[in-house]
Amino acid sequence: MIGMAIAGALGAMVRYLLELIGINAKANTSPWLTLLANAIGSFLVGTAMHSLVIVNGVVVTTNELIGFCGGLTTFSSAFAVPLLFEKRDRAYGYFLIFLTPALCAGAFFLGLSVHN
Amino acid sequence: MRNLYVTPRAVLTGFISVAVGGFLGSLLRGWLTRTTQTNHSSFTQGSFSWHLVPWALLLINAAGVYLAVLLLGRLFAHQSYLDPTRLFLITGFFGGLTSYSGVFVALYAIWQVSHLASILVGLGGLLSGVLAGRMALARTGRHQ
Repeated sequence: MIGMAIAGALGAMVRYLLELIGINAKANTSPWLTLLANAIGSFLVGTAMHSLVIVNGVVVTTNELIGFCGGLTTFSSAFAVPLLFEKRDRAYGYFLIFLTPALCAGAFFLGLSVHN
Repeated sequence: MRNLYVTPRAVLTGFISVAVGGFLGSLLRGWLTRTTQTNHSSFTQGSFSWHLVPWALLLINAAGVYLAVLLLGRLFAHQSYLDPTRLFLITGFFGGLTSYSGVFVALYAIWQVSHLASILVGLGGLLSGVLAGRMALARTGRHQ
């Protein structure tokens, strides 16, 4: 469980680095980068559905990869940030909330198909 | 314009905040889901069983949305993304505690036995996130 938690911490750090790309002068970022982290995590976890994954000759067990993807993806921010958009952006917020699972499901199936 | 907020020091402090928060959140998720986690035995063929539904993770996700909305709407309403406490709690802890990919692993296990059940559980997860978020929104006083 410690190994999965370390993998989760690494995943969260990668998501942070991704979100930093969009940082502006007021030190705020874009929810689209959170969506991107969720889609990448969903893609990776899709590739893990077939037993073992080998990266550069190193065998990564699915448990570690699932732990990493668990940290890389986030459910709380994917909903909370768009829900708190100002009133005029409410439709845009719901668009993001419902677009995320659609894109992540697509990324997951894409990850699955890598082995087929 | 001179950038007053995004300093290398703030970025590095944030990195450590996210690492510690992400570790603790992932550890707690691992512990809370230890009995309901989707594993290799979940992928055996058979008929739909309620045990395949990731109850613990769905509950964690809904609770994570609720608390994140409350925190972002109240405590961190005027804090930037790079605020170390915000990064520790929202990006790190709740980011590690909740999981989007974990839901897909469980949905895929259900998909093997019933496509309809998988879609319904997925929609249930989505709806619970929206409802939990809206319940918290009503308590932030930002907008109803």
